Amino acid sequence: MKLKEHLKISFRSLRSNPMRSVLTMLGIIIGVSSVIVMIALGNGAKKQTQAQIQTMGTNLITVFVGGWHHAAPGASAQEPLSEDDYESLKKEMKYAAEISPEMSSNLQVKYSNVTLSASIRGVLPSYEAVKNLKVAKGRFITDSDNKSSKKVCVLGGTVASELFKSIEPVGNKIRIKNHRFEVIGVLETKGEGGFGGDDDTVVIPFNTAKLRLIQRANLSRISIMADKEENTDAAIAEAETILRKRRNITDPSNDNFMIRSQKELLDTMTGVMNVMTTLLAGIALVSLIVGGIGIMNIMLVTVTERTREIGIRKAIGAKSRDILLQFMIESMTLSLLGGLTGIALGLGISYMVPVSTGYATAVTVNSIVLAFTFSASIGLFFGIYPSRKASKLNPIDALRYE
Amino acid sequence: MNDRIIARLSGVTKIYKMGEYELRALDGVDLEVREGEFIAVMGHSGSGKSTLLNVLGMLDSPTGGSYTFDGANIEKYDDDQKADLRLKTLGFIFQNFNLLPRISALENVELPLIYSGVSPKERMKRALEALKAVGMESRSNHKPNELSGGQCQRVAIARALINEPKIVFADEPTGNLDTASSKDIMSILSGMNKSGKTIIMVTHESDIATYAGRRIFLKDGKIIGGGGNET
Ligand SMILES: Nc1ncnc2c1ncn2[C@@H]1O[C@H](COP(=O)(O)OP(=O)(O)OP(=O)(O)O)[C@@H](O)[C@H]1O
Ligand SMILES: [Mg+2]
Repeated sequence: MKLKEHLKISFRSLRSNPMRSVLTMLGIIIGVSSVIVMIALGNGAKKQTQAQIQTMGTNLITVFVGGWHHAAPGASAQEPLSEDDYESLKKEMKYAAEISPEMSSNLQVKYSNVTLSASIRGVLPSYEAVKNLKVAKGRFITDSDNKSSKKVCVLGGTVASELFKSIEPVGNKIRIKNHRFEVIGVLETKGEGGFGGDDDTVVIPFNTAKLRLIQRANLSRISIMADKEENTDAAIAEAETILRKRRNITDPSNDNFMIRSQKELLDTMTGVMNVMTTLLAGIALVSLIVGGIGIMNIMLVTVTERTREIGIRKAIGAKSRDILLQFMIESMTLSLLGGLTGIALGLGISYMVPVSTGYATAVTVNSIVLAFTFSASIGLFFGIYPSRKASKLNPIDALRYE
Repeated sequence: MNDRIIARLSGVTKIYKMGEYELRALDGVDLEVREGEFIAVMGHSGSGKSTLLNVLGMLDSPTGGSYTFDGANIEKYDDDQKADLRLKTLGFIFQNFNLLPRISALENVELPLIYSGVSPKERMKRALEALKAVGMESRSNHKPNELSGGQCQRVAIARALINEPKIVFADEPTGNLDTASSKDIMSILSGMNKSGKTIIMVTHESDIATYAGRRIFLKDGKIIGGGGNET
């Protein structure tokens, strides 16, 4: 007997009870679409985070004051970053393309009657390249601004829009502490939301910060841009060696500084997002399995209900295999059709979510393949038991069944 | 009718165990069926008529004894081999027709051909012919619930004949029918027999049994008359 005939028989009996077929598929539809949507949401969040981190440049390396978290006895206490540290890094590093010291402080910034708190960062012109900043309006600080400790500033996108609203910032003066700073530029908004971003900063020349505004002897950070992304790790190692030599540290666990790269952050965040995606997908898979149990349940009912039909078919000469196939095809059809509908629904929802809620989604081919193979195997797995039960029925018992 | 023995039972028993108690539905049955015979199996209710027919029709397996069909020893056959024999060499007619309710008369008749892998075109042609032979060609698209009992039974006969079986089994084929329809069905059956079909029919009505060439009587699972070879 040909497969085509088996298909006809099975489709026919599914069609003769359309309501039940649809309800059975519903479990699979919901399961498959939630797998796709969940994975799309997880991936969307991951991509968004990655993009945000990448706007800050993946070859960015930051040197912090640190080491205090190692409470090892005898370990040197936290040692501030000095300008000498910066100078020797600048002189000795081979893998650094750009390098900038940073002296920063959170201060009140005021324009007309608007006051807000911003991170004031005293940096060198190289900072623009190091942090992958883009000037939207005006210009960035220059060497001459720095040499003469000019009171000029470049505003981060958020600061500019909150302080000036619709007024043109460039050329106007803002007040920081009791100094008046001329706004010479505005940075492009990065929209990086919360990863030590540059949107809510005010950038001023390093010497202005050191001599006039912040007046500290120590640096807050040193930002380094590796010459190539592949050299980031080498650049970190190089910076570590230089600083350890300067500070006479032999055991790395006694480091009194800390070096972090954007790449590490990217990797960590990617890892976190992957775990999140897996979790979401796992929850969705559970609902898919529940849908599969629904199929098994209905198939068992169907087998009982159609015992007489099975008896008649067997009396006429249908083999166990014919009956097995008939019921397997029914359950496979339910799950595959449910799977396909679920994929369509999942794609639809994944498309709608960003439009209506603003959450990013990214549908992956893998999630579609996963959902589809899973639903197909569910039809196979949960169909086997009822189908075998049907195929093993003794013809005379099945015929007598009322 | 010739002398070739198509089916032979010797010492066949069918025992149902009901707890400690054993019920011998068939108790040492010997029977020879010759090609072209029309046998009526008679006896009281519970005497084992249906059981005998089901064993002969390979729908049920005997507990003991041997069954030779067309020269082959059936005891050794597995379920699929028996299904194959039923498909290709046996036809069944039941008291309650046993048609599939959701498909048309034509499709019901086609059913055995589907399982034997006949092409759709050929199937349709043969099923229509079979329906015509029982006078049902005008109702080929009706579903069983749109047909009378007599009409259903004719469709069932068409289905039983579609694969050119060697033996047709009928378990009280007129049991659910009125006198007129019963007569129709019986004349179809005796017509089939005249054209050479072997038929084994269970009935408890003696006027129905008169259509048969040989009558055997069962009592408590034993043949008490007609089991020999008298014609
Ligand atoms: N599955 C079964 N389990 C237990 N006993 C059974 C079973 N099938 C039949 N029997 C018993 O076997 C005996 C013979 O049954 P069978 O159906 O062959 O009788 P019958 O001659 O066809 O009767 P009727 O004329 O009423 O149809 C009966 O006593 C019946 O109760
Ligand atoms: Mg009976």
